[in-house]
Amino acid sequence: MKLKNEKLIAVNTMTDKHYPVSVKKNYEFSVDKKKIDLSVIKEADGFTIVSANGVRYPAEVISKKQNTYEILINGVSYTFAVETPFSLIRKKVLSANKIFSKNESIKAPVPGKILDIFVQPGQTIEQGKPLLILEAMKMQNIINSPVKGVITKISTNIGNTVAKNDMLIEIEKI
Amino acid sequence: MIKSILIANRGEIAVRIARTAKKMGIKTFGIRTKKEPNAVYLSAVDLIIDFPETQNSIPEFLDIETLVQLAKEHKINAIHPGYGYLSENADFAEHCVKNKIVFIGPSPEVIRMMGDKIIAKEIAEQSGVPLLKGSNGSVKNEKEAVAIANKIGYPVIIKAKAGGGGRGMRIVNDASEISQMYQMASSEALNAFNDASVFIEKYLQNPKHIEVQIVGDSKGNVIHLGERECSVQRKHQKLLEEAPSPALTPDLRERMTSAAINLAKSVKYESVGTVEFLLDKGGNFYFMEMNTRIQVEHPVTEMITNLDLIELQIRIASGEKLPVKQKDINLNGWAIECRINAEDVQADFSPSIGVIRNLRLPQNNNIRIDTGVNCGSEITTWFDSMVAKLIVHAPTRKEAIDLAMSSLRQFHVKGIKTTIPFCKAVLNNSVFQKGTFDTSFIEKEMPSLVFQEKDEELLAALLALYTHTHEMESVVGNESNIDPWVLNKRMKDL
Repeated sequence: MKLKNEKLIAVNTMTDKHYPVSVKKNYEFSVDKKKIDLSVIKEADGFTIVSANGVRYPAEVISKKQNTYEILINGVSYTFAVETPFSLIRKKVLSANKIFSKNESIKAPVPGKILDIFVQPGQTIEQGKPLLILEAMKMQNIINSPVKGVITKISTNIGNTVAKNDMLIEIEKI
Repeated sequence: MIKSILIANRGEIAVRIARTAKKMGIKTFGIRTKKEPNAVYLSAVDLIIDFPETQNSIPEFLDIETLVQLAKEHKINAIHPGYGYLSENADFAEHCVKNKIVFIGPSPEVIRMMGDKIIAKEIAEQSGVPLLKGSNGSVKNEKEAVAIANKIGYPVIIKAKAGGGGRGMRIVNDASEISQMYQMASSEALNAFNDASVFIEKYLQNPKHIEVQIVGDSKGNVIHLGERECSVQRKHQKLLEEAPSPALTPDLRERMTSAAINLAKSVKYESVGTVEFLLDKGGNFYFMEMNTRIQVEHPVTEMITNLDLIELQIRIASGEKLPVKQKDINLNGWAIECRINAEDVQADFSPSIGVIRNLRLPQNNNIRIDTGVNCGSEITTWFDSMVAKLIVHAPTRKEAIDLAMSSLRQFHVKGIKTTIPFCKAVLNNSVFQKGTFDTSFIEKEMPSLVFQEKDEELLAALLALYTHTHEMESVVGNESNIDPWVLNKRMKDL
């Protein structure tokens, strides 16, 4: 256990906004050399309340993937990657060299029925362009491509009923 | 007098109907389905009927034959259809009547007339309600479609005769698209509604959506209960409603409500109903459609009129005279309804499914929460995404907005994502506050679809860091990592 002062940076992965914080003994947080009176309290009704800077909100950690945390606070999601000054530099080098996976898999976010597929294998797709329509809860949800790339595989058909996390489409990033 | 009611619906509206029926001393029956055997609405009713195994694959609340059969078997007087499902199905109403069960709603003939968009428009025209220019009746072929569209001028909208709820509509911006769009709309209508008939109408760009609540009894009395403002919509789905509308002047209100009453009188409307209008920038209003059921947003009208619309429905269905006259209706103060749906606003309103692990409801004076869920309820893709409705009532619009905002700040759901941050963003929006918004509001006037509280993002960042550093701690202190031999020795030494 590190007990000395440690610099950590929470990076909002959507906006790339940095929150540099110095951490002492794992629980004392300071922002801009000002100590933050942070408390995380589990209340009797099951909610976790985070309070600091004179405000208190219910919040929860929805998911954790290595150093990335998805936080739901007041019903709004934020995704933060917790980095050290060193890991930030490493990340920059890695992304510059494109060592990360080139493949993006599109999985069904909810169970539902495939109403339409707009793409074909081999086709190039721009980021944000529609891939398919998934019908769930009487709503037609358009699934858009999160990346620019080439469609490598389509693993479903129009009319199929899919379960959550079923593989739908694979894209190779360009 | 009706002594027992079968509620042919689920969720919050089933709870809502049961509440009024109980108040009136009427026995209520709820239907339990295999899809949600522990649903909250089942604890709101007096008796539960298990939906039987059937040979068909029709969803439970759409199964006309079985529902009526159940009512007969249990000797139930009346069926309340709620909204959605069979609430505007003339065949269902007719089947009830044939089997001597009271259908709580208007007559099958009226439902049928108003369900047919073309006939509804004809009736509206005959009763002097303004209409948008368009085809008189359904369009026979592509050639006729082109001719009509060119005559009334673009943009035009092609609608399915049997459509509704925003489905089966196509907007055509100029002459080059009309042929193709006509073909598509027509084949879509055939697929979706088993009827290829479509009609064409002038398309109003970004109108306001205003509806008038009316009530009629079997003695020919028809009154209005004011209007509702429903322009905050996304893909024709209403998300936040209010009563009255900030856009109406007393004169315009008078003209719109009179038009709605005339329309209802012309068909001898019995029950509660809603006449929907489009209002353009110049203060001209046009008939859109009539809904022959109780609506999701009925509580805002109840708040400002102090009337129970479900009670009126039941009394009228029992043959009673309207207990109030037009002069008794005072529209008092301002009411706002926020729909809290299980949707992930940050992911383009995609459905958010899961189990509601915890629920914190706001506590305030002059608020009402209509819900069909509680802690432990599962949100599945079987049903629509509405979790709850928060309705607030205050003397002025500004106070109502403030009350809605402070109530939403106390409304917390754990386990799923909801539209609460979205509703807060609407209430906090200056265009909404001014009241000058139209149906393009969400698309054009909302730079952010979610509202961020003060320092919210910082607290989220701190929680991520806190979780991170505390995980580090727990790994070091994890007992299972201790060498079993060492542990054995330690225990001996105790």
